[in-house]
Amino acid sequence: MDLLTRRVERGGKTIDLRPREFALLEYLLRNAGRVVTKTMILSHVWGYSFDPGTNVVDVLVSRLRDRIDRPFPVRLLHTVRGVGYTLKAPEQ
Amino acid sequence: MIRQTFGLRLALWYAGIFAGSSLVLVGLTYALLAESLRARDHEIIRSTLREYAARYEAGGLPALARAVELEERAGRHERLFVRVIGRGRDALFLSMPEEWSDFDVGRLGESGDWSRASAAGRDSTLEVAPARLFDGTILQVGKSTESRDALLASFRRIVMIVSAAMMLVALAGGALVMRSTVRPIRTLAGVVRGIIATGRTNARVPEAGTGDALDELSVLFNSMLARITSLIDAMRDSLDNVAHDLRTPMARLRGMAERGLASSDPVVQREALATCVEECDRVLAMLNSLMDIAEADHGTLRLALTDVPLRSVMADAVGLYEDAADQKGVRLSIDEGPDVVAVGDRDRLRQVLANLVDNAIKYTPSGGHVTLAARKEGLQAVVTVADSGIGIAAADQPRIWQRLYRADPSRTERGLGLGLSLVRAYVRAHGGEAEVSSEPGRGSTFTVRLPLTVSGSRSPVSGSS
Repeated sequence: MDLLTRRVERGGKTIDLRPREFALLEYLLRNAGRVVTKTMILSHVWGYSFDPGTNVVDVLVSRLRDRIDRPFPVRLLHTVRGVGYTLKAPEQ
Repeated sequence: MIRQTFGLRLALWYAGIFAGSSLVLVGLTYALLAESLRARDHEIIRSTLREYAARYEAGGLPALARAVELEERAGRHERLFVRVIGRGRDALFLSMPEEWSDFDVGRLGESGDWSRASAAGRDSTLEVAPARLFDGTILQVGKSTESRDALLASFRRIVMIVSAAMMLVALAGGALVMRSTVRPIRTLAGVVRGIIATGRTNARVPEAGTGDALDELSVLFNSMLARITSLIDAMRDSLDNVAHDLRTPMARLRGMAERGLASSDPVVQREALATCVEECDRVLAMLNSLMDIAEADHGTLRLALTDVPLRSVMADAVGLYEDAADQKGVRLSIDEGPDVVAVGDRDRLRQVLANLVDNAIKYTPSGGHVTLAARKEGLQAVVTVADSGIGIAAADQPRIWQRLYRADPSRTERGLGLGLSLVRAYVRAHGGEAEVSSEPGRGSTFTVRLPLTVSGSRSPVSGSS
């Protein structure tokens, strides 16, 4: 991930991301290996400090997953049920 | 017991005041009458004394005797006591009615002003005025108070009868006043007692329609009852809804926890725990919203007031929901127009807009649209969120603002029902108003009115309402 050119590559393949997807991925990468909660994502990506009824976070995460995970054999973005999401490399 | 004594007290007061004032009136009249009768008698005596003195001076004792005799014959007024006392203290002339002979006239004064003679067994007295004549003899003219006393006695008798009649009238009037005054109060007390006994606030006090103070009290009491009834109903509905909305996640929570406990597989246990956490989050979110609404309703909500450009708040809401709307196939847009700056708490207004957009998307089917717009209207900033959704029936429109109300009771979707209550509570805490207009099948438009300046009739910071 290049923060300056805002380009993202995985396995040598360039991935196009929309600004909010980019912001979410950046946040997940900075916290790689740790679990981030929905509340944290809401306040970091949108700057909202309350929980809107509709699951906007789920929608954004599934979009990001479509771009960075679906075309590849190994999943990096995991859902931690009841808590949030985490980005981590598969254990060898 | 109290109401009986109250009525009696009222009647007695009325009778007492009536009787007291009549007594004063009668007393004054009596005194005035007695005084004027006395003055009249004295005037007769004095004028007679002057006349006889003149006769004596003109023609001596014989002229006086003739005058007295003439006077008696003419019978111009009742007879008088006339006596002439010589210098040797012997009575030279005496004329008086025979029935006065028992008056003790021996010690009557011979000079000065008035002197009185009384008789044993008589209430009346003989009032006598003396005059010293030119030759040293003394002329006395007097009159019995008998006729005067008789007049006053009959006056007293009449007054007694009239007073007794007046007392009866006063008592009857008092009873009447008591009845007409106490009856509405008794009716009111009866209704209140019924409400206390049954707990049902649907009883009403009959309104006489006379427009007096007691009738006004009845009308006010009835409207107070109506208000209380509607408040209690709303609270009961809210409580029912809260209980219902808490029971479902609690039952699920328990089921999950049981499943986790029953299994020895760590994966299943982990799943169960995760579900429990999610379920708890939902309940917590609901309780937080309820508390926020309660705080805003009570006016204890602290608002950090600043200038809030509404376009940026609308853009934030669209940014938050565009992906969700996109996924559902709903077009989410903001109408072009000049920016409007309202005064408010930026975070709360963001939540208001987010909740409205959330609600609009939820009830708008795929292919529909949700449009946000802002405009200035008088001293208010107006934000509208219009959707092309299922709409709300006119009967349901006032109810959507109630806590945990659901347009469709059979809906199983969770986390609903508080968004709009929160919108209204927050907007009202700002001194604004939230409204809805809708046509079932065509869509709904939610309108939020906010003050453009802080100098409204009410200060949102203190929030004392």
